[in-house]
Amino acid sequence: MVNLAANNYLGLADDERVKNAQKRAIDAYGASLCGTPIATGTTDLALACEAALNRFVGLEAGMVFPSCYQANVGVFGAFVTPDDALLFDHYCHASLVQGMQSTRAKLRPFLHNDLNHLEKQLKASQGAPQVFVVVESVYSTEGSIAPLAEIVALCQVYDAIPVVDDSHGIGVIGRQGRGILDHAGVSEFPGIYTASLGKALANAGGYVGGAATLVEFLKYRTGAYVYSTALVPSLYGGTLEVLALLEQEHRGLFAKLQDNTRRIRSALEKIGLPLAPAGAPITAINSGSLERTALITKSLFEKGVFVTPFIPPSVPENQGKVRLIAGANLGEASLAHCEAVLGSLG
Amino acid sequence: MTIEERVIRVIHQNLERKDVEVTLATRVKADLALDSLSVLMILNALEEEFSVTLDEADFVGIETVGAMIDYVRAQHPEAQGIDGA
Repeated sequence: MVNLAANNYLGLADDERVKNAQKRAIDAYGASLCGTPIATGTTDLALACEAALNRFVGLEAGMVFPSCYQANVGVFGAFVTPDDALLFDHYCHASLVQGMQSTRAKLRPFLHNDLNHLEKQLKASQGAPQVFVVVESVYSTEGSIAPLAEIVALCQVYDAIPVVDDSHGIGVIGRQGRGILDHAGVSEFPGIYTASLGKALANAGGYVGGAATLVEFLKYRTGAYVYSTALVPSLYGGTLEVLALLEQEHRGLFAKLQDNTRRIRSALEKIGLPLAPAGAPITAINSGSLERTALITKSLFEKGVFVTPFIPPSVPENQGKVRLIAGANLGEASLAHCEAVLGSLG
Repeated sequence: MTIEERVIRVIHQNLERKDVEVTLATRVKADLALDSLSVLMILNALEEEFSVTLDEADFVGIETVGAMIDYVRAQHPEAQGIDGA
C-alpha cells in the first residue's frame, strides 16, 4: 500500500535519526512525565524544544499543547469575550471553528482568501472591544496558501489581532521549512500562531507562539493546557531532531516533495480530473458528491493507493474532495505504481 | 431595488462561485452547496443589509432562496415591497 493520505510531507516519520532521538528521550526522561506542565511536565528538554520552535518560526515565546486540536480549541477561551468579534476564513479547520464557537463572540466568516470581503467584515466589526482575524496558512483540503502579509497589514489598519494556524505550512513552506511567517515575510508577527508538530515535523503536539506576555498568560489561563498531561518526552526529543535536520536538509526534501507532487498532479491532469488550484504540495481532486468521493477513495485503496476523502461536514454538500500528499520519502517504484493506478481512474 | 433583488444580491456577494444563477426557486444546500459557515456569512450580510437581527437557528432550516426572502421579510415587515439602497 502506498500512503498518500498521511501528512508526512518530508517523509521524516520514517527517518531513523528521528526515531532514535525519540528513543533517547525515552531513555533519559521516561515514557511519560505523568503530570501537567505546571506540575511535573516541564523538563529542560521541553524548554529546549519550545525555544528551538520559537527560533525556527521566528517568535518570541511558545508553548506546546498535547495536540494542535487542543491548542486551537483552547486558546480562544482564554481571552475572547462574548462582546468580541471573530473574523475567519470560512475554510478554517474545525478545531479553530469549535474554539471560536465556544466563546459566544460574534462570528463573522469571510470568503476564502478574499481580502476585500475580509475588509468589509473588519469595517462591520469596529465597535467590538477586540477583533480577531483567524486563518490557516495552508488550507488542508485545498492546498491554497493565505496571503498572510496582506492580512496582517489589514489587521494593523483596523486594530485587529491576527491568528494563524500553520499546521500544514510548518516544515514545508518558507526557508528551511520555517513556515508561513518566513514564507510571507512577516518578521514581527503581532498575533497568535499555532501549528501541529504532527505533520511535516513528524511528531505530535500543538505549538502556540507569540509575544512572551501572551504565552505566559496562556500557560496559566488555558484549561486545555493547564489540565492536560504534558507532551511525552519522546515527542520533544523527536521534534528537536527534526528541527536540526531541517536546517541542513529541507532544501533537498522539499525539492523531492515538489517533484513527487508534480508527478501525481500530472497523472490526474492527464485523465482530466478536476483539481483544486493548490499553491502548496497538496493535490485535491474535486470529486463532488459523497458517493463519487467514496468510490474514488475505495477504488484507489483496492489498487494499493491510500488517500484521504473529505465529505460533509468537512466540506459543503456536493463539494467532496480526495486529497493526495506525495511525501518526499516515496521511492520510484511507489510513484510509478501511483501514476499507473491514478491513470486508470479515467 | 426590491427586497427580493437585495436578498439575491447579498447571496451572490457571499458565494465563492460567482457563476451560479440565484432565483427564488434555488435550493440553498443542494444548488448553492452552502455549509453552515456559508449560511452564517449570508445571515450576517442580510442583518447588515436590512438592519435586523436574524436567528441562526431559524435560518438553518430554510430550504430555498424564496423561503429565505420570506423569512427576512417577516423580520423586517416595513421592507415589504419598498425600494432600498
